[in-house]
Amino acid sequence: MKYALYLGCTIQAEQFGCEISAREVLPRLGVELVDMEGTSCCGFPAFSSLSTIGWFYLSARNLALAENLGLDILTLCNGCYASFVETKHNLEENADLKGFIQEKLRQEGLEYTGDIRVIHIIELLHDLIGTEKISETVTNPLKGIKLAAHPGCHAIRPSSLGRPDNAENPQKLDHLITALGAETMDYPEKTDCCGSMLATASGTTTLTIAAEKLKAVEGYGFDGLVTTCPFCFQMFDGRQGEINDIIDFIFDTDSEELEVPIFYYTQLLGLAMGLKPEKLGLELNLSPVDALVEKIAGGAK
Amino acid sequence: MKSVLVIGGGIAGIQASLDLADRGIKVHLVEKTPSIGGVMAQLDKTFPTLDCSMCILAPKMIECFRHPNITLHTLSEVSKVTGSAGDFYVNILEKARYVDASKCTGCGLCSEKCPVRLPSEFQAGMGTRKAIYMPFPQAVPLVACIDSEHCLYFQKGVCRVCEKLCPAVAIDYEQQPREVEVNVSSIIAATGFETYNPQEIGEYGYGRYKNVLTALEFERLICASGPTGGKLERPSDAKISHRIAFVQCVGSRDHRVGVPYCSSICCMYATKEAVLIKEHDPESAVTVFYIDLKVFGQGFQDFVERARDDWGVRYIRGRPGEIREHPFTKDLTIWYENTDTGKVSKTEVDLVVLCTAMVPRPENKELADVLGVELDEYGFLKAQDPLSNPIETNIPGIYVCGCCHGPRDIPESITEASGAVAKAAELIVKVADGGEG
Amino acid sequence: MTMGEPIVPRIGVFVCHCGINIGGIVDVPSVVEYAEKLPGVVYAEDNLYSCSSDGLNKLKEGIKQHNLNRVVVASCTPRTHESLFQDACEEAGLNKYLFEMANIRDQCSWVHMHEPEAATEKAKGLVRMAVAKARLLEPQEEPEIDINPTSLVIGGGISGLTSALSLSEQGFKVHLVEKQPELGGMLLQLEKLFPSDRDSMELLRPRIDSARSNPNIELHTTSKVKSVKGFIGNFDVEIESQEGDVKKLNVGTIIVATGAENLEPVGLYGYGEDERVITQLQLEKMFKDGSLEGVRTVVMIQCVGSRNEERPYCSRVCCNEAVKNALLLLKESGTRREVYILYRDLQTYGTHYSSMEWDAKKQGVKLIKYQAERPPEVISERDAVIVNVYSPLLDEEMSLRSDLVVLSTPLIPTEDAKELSQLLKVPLNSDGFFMEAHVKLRPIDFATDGIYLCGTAHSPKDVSESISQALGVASRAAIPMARGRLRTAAITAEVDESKCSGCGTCIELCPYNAITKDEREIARITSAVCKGCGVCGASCPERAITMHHFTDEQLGAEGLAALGRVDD
Repeated sequence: MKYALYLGCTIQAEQFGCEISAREVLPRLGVELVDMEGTSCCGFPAFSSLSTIGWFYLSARNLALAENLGLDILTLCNGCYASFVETKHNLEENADLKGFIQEKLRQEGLEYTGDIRVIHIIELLHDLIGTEKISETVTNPLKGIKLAAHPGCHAIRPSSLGRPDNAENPQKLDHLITALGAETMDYPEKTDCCGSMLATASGTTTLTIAAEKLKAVEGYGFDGLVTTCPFCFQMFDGRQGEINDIIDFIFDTDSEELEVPIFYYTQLLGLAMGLKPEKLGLELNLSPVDALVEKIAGGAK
Repeated sequence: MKSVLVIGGGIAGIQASLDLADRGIKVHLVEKTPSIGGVMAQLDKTFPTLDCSMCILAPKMIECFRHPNITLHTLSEVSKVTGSAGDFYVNILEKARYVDASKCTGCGLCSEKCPVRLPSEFQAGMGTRKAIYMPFPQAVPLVACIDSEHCLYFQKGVCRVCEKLCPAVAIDYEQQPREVEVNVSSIIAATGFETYNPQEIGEYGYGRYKNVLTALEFERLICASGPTGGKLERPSDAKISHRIAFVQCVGSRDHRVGVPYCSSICCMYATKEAVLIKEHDPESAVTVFYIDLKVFGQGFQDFVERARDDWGVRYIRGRPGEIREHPFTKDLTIWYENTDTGKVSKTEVDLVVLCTAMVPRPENKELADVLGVELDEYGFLKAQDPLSNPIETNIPGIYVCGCCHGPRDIPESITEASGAVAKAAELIVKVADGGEG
Repeated sequence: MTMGEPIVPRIGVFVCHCGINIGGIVDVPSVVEYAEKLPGVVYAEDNLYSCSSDGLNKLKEGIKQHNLNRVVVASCTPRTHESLFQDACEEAGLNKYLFEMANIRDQCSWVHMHEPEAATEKAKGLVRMAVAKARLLEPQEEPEIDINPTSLVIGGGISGLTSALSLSEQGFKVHLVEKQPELGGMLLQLEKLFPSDRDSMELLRPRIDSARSNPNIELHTTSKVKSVKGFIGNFDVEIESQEGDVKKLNVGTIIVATGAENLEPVGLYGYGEDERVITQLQLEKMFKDGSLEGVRTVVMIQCVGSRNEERPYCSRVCCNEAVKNALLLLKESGTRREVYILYRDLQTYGTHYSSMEWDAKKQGVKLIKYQAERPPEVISERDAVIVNVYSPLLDEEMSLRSDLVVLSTPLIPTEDAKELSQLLKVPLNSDGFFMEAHVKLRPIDFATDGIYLCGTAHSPKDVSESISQALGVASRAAIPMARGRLRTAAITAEVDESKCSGCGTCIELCPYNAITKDEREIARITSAVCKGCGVCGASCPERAITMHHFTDEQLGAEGLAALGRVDD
């Protein structure tokens, strides 16, 4: 299994832990990651709101770079994944548009055919590698730890365009969690959005959406939340502090601060494989993960 | 005079058989399952009169059994039809019951002791039956029947408890299926309908959430002869349900999944079930979520008004967007827009009843092949001309009645059944007068 | 009726275990023991299943061996099993009315499941009651009547024509009475029929022609029913033509197919004041006349004069009629028309109408929901008719400038429905339509034997449903006529003429119109029609009426037995 690894912006600019942990664990599962040169932002969501063609161009360009390497493209982000899939779909539906973009790309010396598979990290882990193989690599099962799955919107919607998981009842991330020896369960807010899309439009609405989800997760007795999207991760992990700063305003009453550990999946996978927390970028998590990490890592041989 | 074949032993088939038999025409009534009765036998009460369904049906079923002009073929199917109007040759395949009908007294001892338990079709999966069973206490014929696919003797060669215990020595593992050929003047198809399986509507959680039921499952729950004796004990924890919501048009009027048409009867059966809940428990909170309230039949509008004004059933116009389940309590939250006020809200309930579409039976395709009749675009049997000739099909001498050709209620089904008999009688007279079919 | 000399009753009591249904709760052997000692009982036994072939054999043997002349079976419900045991008695040579049943299952073991001792005592009581009555039972005969294989169909619209044609094809003679000069009924006023967009004459013409040329059908146009006497198999009917000619007919069955009328909503939404406000039927006429030129915007309003206090019912066909006409309006015009349908709940039920609704939406018919509490407002202006309506979905008050406002009004009973109901002595329901015997299981029969109902005379319905019902009654009416003879029930009422005061109470109350006054003003019961319901017997102030098989004596004895008194 060899893929062109597409990192996108958020991971490279901020959420280093996602990349660090992915690079640590994926090769141990037999995945060869090939770096891409000259990639840019996929265009989603900021650029896409300004120029649709510009967005398609950026995404198609990244896809063409992978095509150039003769490899399928692997994304570690729901948003990038959605961007590539939608671009592919739109270009296939509209021959004129495709022709236009191809022409532009040729000017850069890039050839875009669109015959490239876009792989989401959940798809890679659950469908292509499989939970059995993952379980085999687990030497430090996360026993007794209950984690909430947050697949995130773009891993499941819109279902008409083909997503890694089912929009109404996504279970793959849940299976990936239990493959690590941890526990999980369905909860009503599982398919709720993290709110990050609204960040530029409304500061408090975005935080409210995330806060309601985290509060619910806490209420069900979960020890933490797992996601596969750096955008969601940024929202829940990076901005949990901000949420707590205005939590009384959000819930319109005196409220306890939220203390929900947030993980990117490959970080937990690494811990379950017995890898050291530092190798997984866990010191970079802003949410209160330390106690839980210590508990887990303490069990490692 | 030749006899007439009636395919399907639901209320339409029963009515057709009785009309024929009462006027002296012999009938072969073929029913696929071990007992006649159809869906009407599974209902608790019927709208809008709130008659006990089995009470008004059972006498007709018994009449079919006792009528000298009716030959019942249960656990049977029509396998081949040749010939033409006035002179059809029909092969009826009678499957083996493995019980001698002439000896069985219907005492039920065999079922009591049978060690194999399975979901009961009659109880819509809400209750169980055994591998040797009678589908329901008022079954006609009241003869046990062995489900050989699950019977330990047939599958593994062991057990045989029923044989040991049967006081009438009626068990016969060696019984063979039988093929009978009958010569009939005409054929009346009355094979009824099925309900849509709403599992693919993921946002309603059917199949995932234990407390989301289809209307037929709910009907068994509230029926005194059902698995809980009529107590509204919900599946997840047997808690008595006080807050119940009905969701209309599940799979109906849908251009995405299910079928695009209106299933005609769901608004009324939801109202009926709502009133039954209120009769059981006047303090209960019952809500019906609908799009257009179908009140076009006799007494329907009045029934809804009584439900609303006298019983306090709430009607909210708005198809719910999503149903969510609380992981611990298993209570359900319904998100909906009340389109009369424009407000989006949610409500918490103990139980949700999905009023699912009436869809054609998948066996219609095979039946249509055997009979040579056409199916419409949905898979229902097709009347030759739904406007001016709603009972004849493209094959002279073959008639349709009841839900096999589209959604309709009980009075309409039995009216059509009588109508099919009129046509069958016309044909008999025509042939007797020397005309051709 | 009586045998002449008083018979010494030799009663046999058969108590059923019904598996464990009865035997599991009631101590059956002790009931048998108790029964043996009751006056009149010469034999008692218990059976595992009285209704099984084994049980029935034992019953017959018991009758023969012990020379029984009365039989009591204590088991389940007579609703399902009475005729079974009665037949068995007949096979053993005993008149079936010398049989009595005690329900010790549904009315005893089933409802007293947790009180076996009390249930056993009750079972004994029920047996005691049955035996008390059995002692006084007398054999009854079931008279047979001839059925004239001729039918009277009242109404020559699509329903009347269809049933008349089917009956004639089945070999019966039919008299078809129509008050108008032409056959065809309301369909003559319709242009195109939904859902398949066909000419109404396409359906009517062949039927009218067949009816006219069919030797089995005698047409009586411009005629009405003047009087009806008699009962099933033997109705004496007088028909009067417009000119005053009276014909006398004798028929075996009668079919009511008199149709319905369309409400003219005078005073509603400007109807009657502004000629641009019309009904759907009038729109049909405009299609026929081709007088819709220049009409660009049409607003239809549903539920006008229906689903309200005065007429609470939904008229079933109006939504589909409106949608069909909307589609026709769009199809017909060269220029683009705007058609709005203002509705409360769209009754586009079933596969065909749902499909028609979807077509209408795709073609741009604007369906706007309005709330019952906020009906539309129609204002006449010189150049347009303004329709103001509040749409809850848009939360907007809409103002529609239209060239034509079409009101969808309900089908209502014909003005002579009441008169006909009195002539036939059949009931009307609260909406004024003819009322069937049972809404669910006998939708096209009247409670009175031999009279049947179809089409919009019963309730609003579309053409194909009327045709189905018409074919349905052709089967129902054919049943007695095909048999030629009908065995009537023995359980009927009988008047002691010496006691009858002619008060007429029984006649008023009889639901089956089985009682008339003879020339001496004495009540006369037509046994053939009497159902033995007992209302007359219970209400007669002179106690002049006896119910066969339920005489005052028999019921009195039963009642006393219930209280524990066992007199000989």
